[in-house]
Amino acid sequence: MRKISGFIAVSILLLASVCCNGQDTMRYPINAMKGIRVGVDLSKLALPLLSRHERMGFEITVDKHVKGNFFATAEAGWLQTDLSRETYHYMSSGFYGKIGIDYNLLKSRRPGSNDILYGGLRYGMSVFSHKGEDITVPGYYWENATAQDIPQTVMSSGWIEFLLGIKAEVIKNFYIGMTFRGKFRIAKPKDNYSTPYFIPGYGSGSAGFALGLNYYLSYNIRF
Amino acid sequence: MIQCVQKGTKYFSRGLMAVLIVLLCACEEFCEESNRTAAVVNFYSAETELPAATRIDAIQGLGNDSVLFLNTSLQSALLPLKPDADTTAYIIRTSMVAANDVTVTETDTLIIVYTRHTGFISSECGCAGFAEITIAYAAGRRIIDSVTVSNPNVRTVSYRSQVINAENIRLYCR
Repeated sequence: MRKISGFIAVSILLLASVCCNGQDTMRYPINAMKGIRVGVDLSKLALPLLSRHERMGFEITVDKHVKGNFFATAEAGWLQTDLSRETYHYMSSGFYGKIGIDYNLLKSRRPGSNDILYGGLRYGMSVFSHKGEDITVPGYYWENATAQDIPQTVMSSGWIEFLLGIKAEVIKNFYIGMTFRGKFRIAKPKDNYSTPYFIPGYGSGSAGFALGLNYYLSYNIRF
Repeated sequence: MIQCVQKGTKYFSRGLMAVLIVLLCACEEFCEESNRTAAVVNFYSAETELPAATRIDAIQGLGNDSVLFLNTSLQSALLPLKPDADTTAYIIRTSMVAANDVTVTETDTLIIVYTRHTGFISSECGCAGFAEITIAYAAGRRIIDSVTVSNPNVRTVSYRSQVINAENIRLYCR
């Protein structure tokens, strides 16, 4: 409930902060973007620093102006987790992909601008595996003991994302952008005994709803 | 150029605000689940086949110096299984005063055979040892008339509340 409330609050803040700027300024339709825009998620590259080197990954994104205010988009990435604790060593890794569509919500304040504030929808899917070793389980009434390893298990998961984002052209053909996402899991990973720690591209393996934040650097390849 | 810098700064500050809010929403540092596993054993009357509380002097694990239950009436008990063995045995002791005022102590041994599995619970809670019961039986049969396995899957239990998991074993007592 806290995560859903936080998602709604930040979405309102983002919308209000951009919509309220320059209310009296003339608006122009966005310039139809030629070619495709390819980007990399900088927040994934910062994961080792943010997660005490327990997670690392990368994500690339591609989008193309389709018609009017619509952009078709695809994202793909890879994520690895390595948790080393006193009582276990847990590892997981996998790939994910997302496809979706974005809709530009605003007209630009200057002609020929490609800056957009958009709402988007994604379908995401991940295939990943996990395993565990060097495990000690509590015996409570009995003595603590070394347990069997968790065998490598391949799982998959699917989810739907609703997002708000911005993309701004800071230098010709170079864009910085940010998205804030709410993700709803629709396919739960199947494992009889384990809850995966992290689903690549989605978030916590035990949560039915997850939040996400991305920070992109993109380049428009014109053709 | 100045406009680009101003625009970048504006979006960066908003992005930083959003990151802070997300981090506040996402913090989870405590183990809120359980990684303790135990078989749920319920006592029944052999005569009526209905749940019935049984007077117990002691339940003690075979090979363990500690007594798990002492001088109590039990309708349900959580019996932890050994995490490093495929068999766990519990000695169940009762006593009664006979017609000639002599106290008679009866002892049975409940033997549980199972296959072990390890599962990951969460980064805070770690792993737990689960079990799938193959067979459960009683040796002695002075107290226990029969034993049935109603659910072979032994899962994690919470000791903060009453027994909440499905029953694993039924003991029909004389």
